[in-house]
Amino acid sequence: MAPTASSATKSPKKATTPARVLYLYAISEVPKRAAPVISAEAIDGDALVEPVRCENYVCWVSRVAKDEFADHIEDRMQDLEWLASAGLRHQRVVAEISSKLVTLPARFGTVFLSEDSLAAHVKERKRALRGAFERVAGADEWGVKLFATAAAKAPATNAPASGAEYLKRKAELLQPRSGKLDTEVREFVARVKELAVAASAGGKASAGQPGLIWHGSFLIRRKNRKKLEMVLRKYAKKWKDIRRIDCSGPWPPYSFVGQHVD
Amino acid sequence: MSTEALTIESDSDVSLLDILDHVLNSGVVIHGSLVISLAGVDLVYVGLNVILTSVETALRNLNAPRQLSGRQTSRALR
Repeated sequence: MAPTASSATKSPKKATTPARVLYLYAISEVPKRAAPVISAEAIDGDALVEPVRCENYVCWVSRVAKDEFADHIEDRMQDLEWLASAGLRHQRVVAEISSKLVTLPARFGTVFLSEDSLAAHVKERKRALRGAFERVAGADEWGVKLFATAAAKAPATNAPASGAEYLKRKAELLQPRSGKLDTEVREFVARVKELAVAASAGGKASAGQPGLIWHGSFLIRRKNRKKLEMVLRKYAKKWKDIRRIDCSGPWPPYSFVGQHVD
Repeated sequence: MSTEALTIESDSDVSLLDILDHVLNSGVVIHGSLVISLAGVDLVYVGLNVILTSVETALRNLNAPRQLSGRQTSRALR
């Protein structure tokens, strides 16, 4: 990723060179004033993050190497370091746009050959996009995870009778127990859902975290943020010795645009 | 800010796992000239937790020059 500052600082050419493709981060509403300058690093660590007007929306893109982001992206995604950097950069760009404008994050790895093809595809999905914008306006995604804490894992205070039993217990701790949720946990999830516009199952990346009981995302209107915090605090207090609640956010509404729009 | 059993992380200090959870979870699907399938990523998840520590280290290295150059991570919405 050698910096090519001279080419990056030039204004974007109207036609992409054959070796470049458009990496799409997000689609936003049209800003009332000038489009904000996005200072977060581009997906390749080098390009500009540019607004491209399509229909009644603005598509946020970077002109990146076709070789890396189109021809070989599946190979690159097997490389965790690459995935980590690209995922983080994608998130930073989308979060910055989303902090300024109502935004639909694009699916990670969406690439277009030209502005024309981008515009054509946005036009095709115009109606679905409008619905998605209405859904996410004024709302943020919040991630919630429930963990069994050390105290909860210890009801079997008696020492394991054998090495095999020790390993078995340890394996149980590492397996999130989906399917047989505690009544209290279900009640908690239902309580948060009441505050949310929508709920979504948690991503696969952290599904194997030790002690994880449940995780998911909620789309919460900003006016309900305090209420969310109150519910979380109530349950955190109640579960003090047995469960821990981790909450992250606000996130751009990643988990609430795909399934509805597609 | 948080009780013992509750943590609320702002988006500037969430873990890589959380980022991948949200970023790779979905997003709007616009059928491009090239839409890259995420199917291959399933393979990555298998090893993700195992290799996580080294990736977190890689990320810290990645972040270091950004902080020095005074760039800001995105700010939370109010």
